[in-house]
Amino acid sequence: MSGFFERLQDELVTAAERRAQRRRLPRIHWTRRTALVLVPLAAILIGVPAFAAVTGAIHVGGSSHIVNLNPKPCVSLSPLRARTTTTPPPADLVSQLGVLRRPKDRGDTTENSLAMLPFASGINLNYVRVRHQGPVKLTVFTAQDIHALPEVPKGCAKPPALRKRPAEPGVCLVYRYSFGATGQCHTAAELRRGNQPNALTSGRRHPAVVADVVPDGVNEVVLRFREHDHARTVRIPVVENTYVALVRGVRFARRPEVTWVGPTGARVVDTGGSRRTPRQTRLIIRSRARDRAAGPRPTVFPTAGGARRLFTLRFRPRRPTRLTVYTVRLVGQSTRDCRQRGRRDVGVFIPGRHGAGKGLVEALLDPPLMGGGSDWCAGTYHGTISVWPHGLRQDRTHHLYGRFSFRVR
Amino acid sequence: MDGDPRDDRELLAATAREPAAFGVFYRRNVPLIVAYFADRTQDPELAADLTAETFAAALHASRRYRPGPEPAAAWLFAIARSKLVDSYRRGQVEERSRRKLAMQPLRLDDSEIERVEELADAGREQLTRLLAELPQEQREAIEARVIDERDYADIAQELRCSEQVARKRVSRGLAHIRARLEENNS
Repeated sequence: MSGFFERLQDELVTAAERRAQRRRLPRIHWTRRTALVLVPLAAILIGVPAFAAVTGAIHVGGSSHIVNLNPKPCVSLSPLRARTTTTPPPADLVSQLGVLRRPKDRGDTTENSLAMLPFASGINLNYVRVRHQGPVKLTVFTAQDIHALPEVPKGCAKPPALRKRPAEPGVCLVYRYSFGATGQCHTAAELRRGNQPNALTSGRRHPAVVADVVPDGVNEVVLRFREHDHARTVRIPVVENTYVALVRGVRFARRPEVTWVGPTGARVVDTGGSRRTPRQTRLIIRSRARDRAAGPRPTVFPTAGGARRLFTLRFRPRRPTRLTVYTVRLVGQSTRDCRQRGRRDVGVFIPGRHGAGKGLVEALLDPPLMGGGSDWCAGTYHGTISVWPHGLRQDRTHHLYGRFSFRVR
Repeated sequence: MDGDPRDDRELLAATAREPAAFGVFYRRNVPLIVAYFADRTQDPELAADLTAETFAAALHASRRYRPGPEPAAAWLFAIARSKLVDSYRRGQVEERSRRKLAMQPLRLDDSEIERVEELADAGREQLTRLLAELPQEQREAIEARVIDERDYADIAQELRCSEQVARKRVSRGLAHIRARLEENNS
């Protein structure tokens, strides 16, 4: 687990301890005697100050003590409100975006989309432009500061987790679709350089909504989504400096390559997407070659390695049915205590169904599988693969498919 | 796996008197929740933030938790889904539960972003292993209902069965997963 998640676990357990301690406070059991004690006490506590307040009979000199019952909590539960200004946006920004230079029309209504980005402050309501494209509503507006922190009520400490960046003006886009809304802001320099769109996603059932702002002179945006062994290209026309598309069947784990195309078809900007290092590329190519070379006989790569090595078991069964599953069992020294030997079920595997990995069974073998330790113990580990032709159920037949082994130095 | 023989439901029930039990519950389920958020938000920082809020809400609600026929993970996923929808609606991740518990704000360093992905991968693998054990029809029904969050009527139409049968498949599949989780945990 990462440091963040370990710290989170500590925080949760500490919070649970605090709750448990609160709960352990003795409870009052209501008896007649309790009532005889508490009722006069309550009468004194309420009656005496009330009598004093009304009659002024009891007066304590000096400054009065103020009990602040936190009339203004440090956390606002009211809906966010846009922080507006009348200062015009920088000329550099307006000169790049024709949509901001056109007169504001009746459709450019200000609405609560402006408050959706809490880090956008100094919004000029004269520079809000709204466009509808099918089910998506896009709102473009300018902000004097696109790195602003949310407002904190007076007297309240700012959350330490937030880092303040110098104020920078920029243009923001918020877009709404049936299952939600999102948005992002760009500075003038980012607009010139080319920016990555962000995507609104909600499970595989819905398409991803991809949208962004582009400067004048861009007529079309081409997004290229690279998946494992194929790429998908989506061409989106630009209208009023914005583009939006509903894209199905792509994952946004890797950034798409973005190409801005001008009126003549020339490339204005080509971001090239996220890049791999040459070493990463080499390793991936070799790994894919091993995937392709895998046959029915199980193989482990590498056959020998160090204490922290990740071993990969591969095989490509001949004719698996849709119900066929494979279980892998490993026998060797426990990684928690090298003096002990153990037998562990690595997991249940099904052959890949798509692309280059079709028919391939691949299992990653790492030290924690054998007892939770981070290092393998020196020696040889042996494994067996069982095949369950009709699914993994206790009442279903299974038999040995193959064996494998690897050595730890 | 983590040495604690109790299942998730027992851990939640024990949280009020034994705070460490929630730590065990957290360790068991955090990869699944991170994977859930990472897939839906495609943003590691947001996924980590939503995970923190979900577990804080789960701790806050643990006293009200009543074990039912579904695994405790399903209860946790219901909280996760609600947090995700709230975040879409408000355009930010709530901190209400963390504030109620007076938890310190946590920040995800840039160096930890890759670890979120690793944890999400572990969660996906865990889920894949559990699903792979199910018969095909139950696997498809659970994927459609629990992962894709589709209506039973919709699922029944796709699987060419009645709504009742779709419900039954989901219920049996979840029961099997629960049994396996309990087995693994013990």
